[in-house]
Amino acid sequence: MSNDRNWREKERSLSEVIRKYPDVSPFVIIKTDVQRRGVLYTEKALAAVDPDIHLTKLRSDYSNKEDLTPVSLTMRDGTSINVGDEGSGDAHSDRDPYQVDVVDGKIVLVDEGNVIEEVSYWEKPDYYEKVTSRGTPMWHVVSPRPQRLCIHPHQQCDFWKTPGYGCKFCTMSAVYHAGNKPELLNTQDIVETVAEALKEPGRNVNIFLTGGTLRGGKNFLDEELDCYIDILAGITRLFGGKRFPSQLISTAFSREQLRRLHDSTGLASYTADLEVLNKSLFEWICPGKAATIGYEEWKNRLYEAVEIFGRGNVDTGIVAGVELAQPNGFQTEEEALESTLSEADEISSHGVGVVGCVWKVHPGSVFRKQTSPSLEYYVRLARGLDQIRRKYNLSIDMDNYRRCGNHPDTDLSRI
Amino acid sequence: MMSAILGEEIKRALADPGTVRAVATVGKDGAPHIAFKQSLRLRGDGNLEYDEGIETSQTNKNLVYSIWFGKTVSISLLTPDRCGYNIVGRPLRVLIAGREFRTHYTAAREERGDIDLSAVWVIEPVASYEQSFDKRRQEEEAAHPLLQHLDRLTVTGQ
Repeated sequence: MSNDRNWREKERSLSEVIRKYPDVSPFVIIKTDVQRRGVLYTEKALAAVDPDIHLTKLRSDYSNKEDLTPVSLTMRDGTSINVGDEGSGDAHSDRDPYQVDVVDGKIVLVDEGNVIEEVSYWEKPDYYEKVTSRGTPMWHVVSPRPQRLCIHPHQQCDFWKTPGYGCKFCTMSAVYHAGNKPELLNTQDIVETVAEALKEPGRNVNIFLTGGTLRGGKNFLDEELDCYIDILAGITRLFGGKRFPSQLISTAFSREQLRRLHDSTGLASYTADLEVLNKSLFEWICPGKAATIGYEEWKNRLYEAVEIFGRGNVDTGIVAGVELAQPNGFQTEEEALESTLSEADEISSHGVGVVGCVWKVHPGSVFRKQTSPSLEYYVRLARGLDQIRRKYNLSIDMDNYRRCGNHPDTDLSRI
Repeated sequence: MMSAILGEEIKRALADPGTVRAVATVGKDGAPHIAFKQSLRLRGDGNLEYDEGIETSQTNKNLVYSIWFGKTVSISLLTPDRCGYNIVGRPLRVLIAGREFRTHYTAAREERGDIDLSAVWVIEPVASYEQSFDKRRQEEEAAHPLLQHLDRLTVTGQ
């Protein structure tokens, strides 16, 4: 159930938003709303799950699930809907979730009894039930999306080890403490699992790494850098030493660290997430990042990354909607939209793409009692971010709809 | 339902490797685009499908636009003996991952060597008609007898 029983009366419905924005893909609007509100599976929908075919269990930085609900969904146009990483339904308590049901033999999204759109379940990769030479289940090591291999070597975040330093929307530390995951994955396990996963034809188009901050080392973040270089060097050997379609989201490295990362691995693209495009909100929402690097320096490091990795190969992610968290966030969606798009324009003018994730309000986060913005806000933001990239002729191949799948704005870049 | 839309002649044309297959689409700028897609074939479920090898091709973009906004596409077939057919279709789904995509990916690479496959588009036929000139001329003269040059119709003018 939603926190606010009357939430539907306070914002435009899905069909009203689709009608109001006829130039925006209805598929992307539906996906956005499903990610915002989450899903619950009916008994018929769960009966349609075949654990030998569909992806159900998942261990990643934000997930540790072994139940038989599907990890997530795909739409008819190939769009991914990322609903399952943090557990479905219960995690989205700020509004009623959609239902996934079976109607006329098809798996469909349903809202208030109306069939919205057909979907399918993500499929399980070939490597999933195998173990590494050390005996580690490969599904503990690499988590799949339909076309991406995700590696999360550090499953906790050092910022959460300092009271008050964790990002307020984030559940990584809560998920880590709730489960039995190791804090650090073994590099040999990772490289063996990736090697096995790459044997599957026609599945993967990207290798992705991210994890919690590692603050240690001779210089700040050297420990995190060395961890990624170690893993990437092993994976790079699988590609004969050449650069390969890949993305790293890390804490923002210095110029020297970025140079070492680029020159000693085959990594093709780089991301350091600003999370929110406003200095004072960054300091409130991401206190650890703000205290150790700072908003302006974070941006400078992204611009330096463009010099090293090249234009179109660097972007930054935002948790779209947290700029409206209260009491310090923007008071109106109009104000938030204008400010966020203006700052996204400035950042993009330096060759850094800005991509938005749909903020889900999670029970394990500091922001658990917040309410995410309206669907209309997300649609306008996604359209704005897509338009900014077109204005600067900035490719988003590195983070397109086949990769993360949680960026409505990069879905819009398909046409 | 599909078999009624696609007659036996069209099915034979689709089964003939010598048939030329063109897909006409329109994108968000309204500009028409035609591309030859020799992999276009009939599926077991009565729909059509073709292998798209290039992610950023204009046809691929236009098909995404079409599935998003409910637009139709036009497919033309020309058989080796010059019979022409037209099929109006509606993009139904695109396969970009999963078991079915993998089957197509593997088959395409076995047939054509080291190529990549971006997607397999599934298109539902919603109408079809024969487009051969002789057939169309007969239909035209029967349906619109007033739309002819008179010199062709006089007793002495032939």
